[in-house]
Amino acid sequence: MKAMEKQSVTHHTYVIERSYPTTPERVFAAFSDPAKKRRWYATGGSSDVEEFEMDFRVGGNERTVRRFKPGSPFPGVALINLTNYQDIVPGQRVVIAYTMALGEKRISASLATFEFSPTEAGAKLTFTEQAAFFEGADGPQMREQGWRIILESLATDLARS
Amino acid sequence: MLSAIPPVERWWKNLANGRCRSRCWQSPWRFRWPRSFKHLEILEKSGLVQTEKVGRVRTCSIKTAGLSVAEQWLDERRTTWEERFDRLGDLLAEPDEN
Repeated sequence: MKAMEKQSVTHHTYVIERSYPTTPERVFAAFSDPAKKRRWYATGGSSDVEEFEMDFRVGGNERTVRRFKPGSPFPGVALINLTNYQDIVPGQRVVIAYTMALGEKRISASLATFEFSPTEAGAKLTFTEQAAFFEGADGPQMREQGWRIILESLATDLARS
Repeated sequence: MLSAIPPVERWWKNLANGRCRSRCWQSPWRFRWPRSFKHLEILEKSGLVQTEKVGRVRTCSIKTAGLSVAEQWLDERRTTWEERFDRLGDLLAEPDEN
């Protein structure tokens, strides 16, 4: 019998800052308008958007389901984000609590804060995520399998040159 | 180490996101094949990738032993948000509809 996998939680906090040549109000609008938010938040990357619905008010929920494309590290696997809006101050901040799940397994639970402030050049966005990552999920094994597929195609490309 | 070399970091992130196929090595990142091999060498030296050449075939594999599972997830999470904020910048650069 395989040794029992160690289950643990690791906490991480990190900050990302961005400056945009526009007003904090316009940046905020990209968070409050579902069509705008879907464009920058849900689309892009190595997955297709299957569901995106949001209820932008304190206590409101947001649900995003994406599915990894073939050739990505987790082909065919669903990536599910469940978000709850904790605090909203128009033009100033949005605070969310969210979980992320890969297939059936939850990877993390986080508190994320978006702060908008005016600068001489426009608007500054400060994003702070305080996350609890759950180890023992089967993500690493799936990732390894996905990597193998990608690297095999890369090796094939290299061999052709 | 990788973060000190932006083009390599970019390449790495795209590879990590499963978007790097042969064409992407040349465009839009303007990589050429000989330089790509150079990048592989750098990645190899960083301890993140190992490559093995037998005849004309080079085999690459990822070494994740140096990173814990949580660190791998964290790195991926940060990259995801950075890409989102890039797209947000593109959206904000467009004129409003009305």
